Amino acid sequence: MRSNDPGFLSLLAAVRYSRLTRWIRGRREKLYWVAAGAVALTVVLLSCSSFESNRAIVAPPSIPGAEFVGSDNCATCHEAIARDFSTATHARLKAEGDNAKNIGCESCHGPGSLHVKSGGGARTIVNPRKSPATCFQCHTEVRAKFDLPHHHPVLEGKVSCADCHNPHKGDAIKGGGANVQQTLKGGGTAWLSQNETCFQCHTAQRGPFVFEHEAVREGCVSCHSPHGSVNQRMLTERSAALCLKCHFQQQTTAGRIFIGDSDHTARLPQGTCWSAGCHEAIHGSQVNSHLRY
Amino acid sequence: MANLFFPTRIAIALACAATLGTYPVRAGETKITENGTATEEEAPEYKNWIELAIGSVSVRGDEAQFKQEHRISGDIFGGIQDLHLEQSVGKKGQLTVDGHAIFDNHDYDVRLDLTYPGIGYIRGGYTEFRSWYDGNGGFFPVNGQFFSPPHPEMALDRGEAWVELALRMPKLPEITLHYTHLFRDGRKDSTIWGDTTPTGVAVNPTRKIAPAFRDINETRDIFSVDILQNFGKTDIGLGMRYEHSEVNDRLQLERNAGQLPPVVAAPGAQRFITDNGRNQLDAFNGHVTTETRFSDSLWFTSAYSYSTLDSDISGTRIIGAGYDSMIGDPILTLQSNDHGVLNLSGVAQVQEHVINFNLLWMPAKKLTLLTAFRYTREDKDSASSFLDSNTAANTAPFTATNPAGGFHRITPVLRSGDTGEAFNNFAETLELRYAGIDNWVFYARGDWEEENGNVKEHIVAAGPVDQGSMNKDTDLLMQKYTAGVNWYPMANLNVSGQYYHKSSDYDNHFISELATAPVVGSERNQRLLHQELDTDDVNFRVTWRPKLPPKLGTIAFVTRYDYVHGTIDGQWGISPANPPGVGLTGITYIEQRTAEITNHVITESVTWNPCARLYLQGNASYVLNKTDTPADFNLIPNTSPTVLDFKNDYWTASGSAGFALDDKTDLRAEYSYYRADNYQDNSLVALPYGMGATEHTVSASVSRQIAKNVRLKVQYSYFHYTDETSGGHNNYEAHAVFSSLQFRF
Repeated sequence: MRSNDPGFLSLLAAVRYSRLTRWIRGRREKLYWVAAGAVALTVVLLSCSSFESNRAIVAPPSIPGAEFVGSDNCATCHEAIARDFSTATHARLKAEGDNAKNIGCESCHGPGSLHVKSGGGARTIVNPRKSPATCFQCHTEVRAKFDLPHHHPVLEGKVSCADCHNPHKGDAIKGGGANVQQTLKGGGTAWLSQNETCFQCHTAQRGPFVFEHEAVREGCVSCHSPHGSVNQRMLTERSAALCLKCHFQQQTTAGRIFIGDSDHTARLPQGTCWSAGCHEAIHGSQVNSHLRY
Repeated sequence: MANLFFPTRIAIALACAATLGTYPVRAGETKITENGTATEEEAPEYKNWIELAIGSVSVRGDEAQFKQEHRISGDIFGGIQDLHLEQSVGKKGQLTVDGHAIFDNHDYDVRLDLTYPGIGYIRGGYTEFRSWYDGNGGFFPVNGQFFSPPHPEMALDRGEAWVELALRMPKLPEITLHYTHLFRDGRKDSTIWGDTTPTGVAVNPTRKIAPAFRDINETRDIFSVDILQNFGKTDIGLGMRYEHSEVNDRLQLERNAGQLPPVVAAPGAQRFITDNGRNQLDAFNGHVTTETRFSDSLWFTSAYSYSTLDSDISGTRIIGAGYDSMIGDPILTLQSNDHGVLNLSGVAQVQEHVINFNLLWMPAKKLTLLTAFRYTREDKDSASSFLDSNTAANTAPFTATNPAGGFHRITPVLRSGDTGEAFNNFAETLELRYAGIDNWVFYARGDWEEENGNVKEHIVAAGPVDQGSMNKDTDLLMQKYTAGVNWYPMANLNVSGQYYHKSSDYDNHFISELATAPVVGSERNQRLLHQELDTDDVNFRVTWRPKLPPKLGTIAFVTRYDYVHGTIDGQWGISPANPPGVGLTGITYIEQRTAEITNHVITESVTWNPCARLYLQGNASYVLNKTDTPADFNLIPNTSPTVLDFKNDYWTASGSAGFALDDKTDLRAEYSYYRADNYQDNSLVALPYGMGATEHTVSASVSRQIAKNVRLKVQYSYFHYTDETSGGHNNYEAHAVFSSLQFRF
């Protein structure tokens, strides 16, 4: 049958516009889920009964074949980490009592028996610096952000949680709180310490600028969602609504919007505040107090 | 479209994978398998391994968007996926080499470590990876306007080379020397989009959708030395750090895209801007730290740090007929107020002193008290001057190079500015943790920050006209209160909850104001007199591993809910420091809410091992995020709001499964889904920004141990992304194959 055969085209159209086809199209995503669920269920039913094998497979993060040995064993070699852990934000997880006795190093690093046995051998312990799955066990909301189109490349292994967070000592967020020691040890100057984590990589945004954007002092997170965002540049808002969070001043003329001493009524429809010709130097300017360029 | 599905390069990759798989097969003894993460199987007799890999991607649609999101090269890539070598050196020494090198993905990492226990170590490494960027700008739905980007696909390489030497000898100070060189080099997109008028809109047709990009060239060299010596119960550390960094970035913009004759009357308006900012920076930091452990229950630490930073600023901003134009290059399309910058020259100096004290005290075994205090003094002075290159309308007689309706550059005029800032910042922390009730931990924490400072801006406008100085005193009071609990009601159940309230109050007291002329009939310049940012954050997490009948295996649930509510309130006024008789001096408006942000996040994670040979994992999240803005009213002459409340709602879901097919073979499958549904077409009155996108990713892999020390993995992945906001220009569909072969030895 030729592709331009009238009969074939008629059949094709009948199929394309049939009620069944339209029904499937309208429910395509739901059908994907149903199909995926059916496949998963089939795998479950078949796999555990139909093949002969004694092998075990474990879900990440874990160490196949390893058993829990307790945090005291870890302190034998990792003395400083064990000692300083009392100062860490994560120490809030440690409780007394039988139900909490397994909470310790192995909660994040996986069972440590093989690591102890091998004298610290490579790949015998979960290393969250290489696999963020450990952190995602509790911080599931952060896991979701790394799945968004704009995110720091943590899942891709280019950046690790530990680049910005310190799980073992002091504030979990590097440079956070009043304790500055970890910032010093991290090599920062402590200048604008809460942003120092970001400036490690984003050098140009550090300035210093002759004319600062004061929002940077409040923190990079005023405008950016550091784990991930649906918006480009990981912005918290991708429109003038971002800037107007702070810059919406008292309006005195109906239907018009003033910012500073300038009427922005005709400008806001054009695009964002940081568009070309407007406030391009949004992190700070060397020449213009309005951060024009 | 020859490279749509399984093109030649994928066939090559598959062939290579098959070739890798023909390695002689021997029976393996291992009974436990790896799961594809960093927690691989460890065959005790093999301490070294190398994993060779090859892969390829075929993309239909926006290849750059795919690369940007998934950070995979679109061509054949391959090399060493993973390498680990360790070798004894001498009696006690150990040499370790770790790394990977994936060619064409520009993904390299090598790390060497030579350690002699009791003496010290020398470590070094090199890391480089590439990030891709999609050059697309905006899409305007009224007439489908979209400008093809000058660089559809861009890439930026980031890298670091470093070496560290350390002395760790008994009874001698610990000395650590570190040098690192960091760089960023390449090109990336920018959201600073340029304007255009051919948008099909009758009134106020200008929309900013023309693509923009940045050329990035940044380097940093950091040298540091740290010395640590123990004196009884006290460790004293001394350190210094010197950094030299150079930033030479260029922002590249196109304005009035598509507005050349015959679209508009001669001479047109399309032009290009290259804004080159250069900054050479030298920073020095010296610090001393102490850590005293009076007992296991009482520690005291302190630190003092002095930092100084000097930078030299230079740059240009030139408007021309193309990117990277010179100031003398002819251009007929200049417009009114096309300001350029020439001969920018400036300096900035920052000095900072930090004093810090911390105390950890456990007055009882189950009670922990943490306190910290920090004082920071920061002084910053900066100044710059430049030639402001402005334009004026052409005058008769008109010629081809001096067209009617056009503009030309006029003689640049000198402008300058200088600023000074000084801040005193005090920060305190107090945290209490109590674990006196079995299976419970309670904690409470307070953070406070008080800051007073002064900011001065002095501006000399063209003329030169000294506009005087804006001088203001600033005050900040930040308070954050946190309370939380962790409860283990059963060994397999953990309930966690936390709440915090944070408030930041800023006050500005204006002492003097710039002497700018008032605009008759216009608003006078309003200044922010007071601002308060409040955040309430609460989250709950339940981790539950219910006991199942043995036939059903084991299962774990993690449920988490996060709620954040934030408000920003501002009080504005006509600067009370305005010169007498100018404008509405001294008017203060009532405080108003400038933003309200709400965020709900609910996530669920399930891990089920129905039997030893199978695991299933699932994650799902639903996010409701909204920023309410008071600016969502109709702007003249529009009949619907230009600035909308901004929504960031989205769904994500992912699932994975691992299955040990037989003694040597594992199967693994993953699926992930993302959906944002916030696109709202308000293009007649604005530029629609809300994100509407859907993404599906599916992958499946098989891994087989083909010899005792050899494992082969083959993986296939499928990606599908549709983006409503971009009008489909960012859509893609991709297939990827990947294969690796691991040898242990």
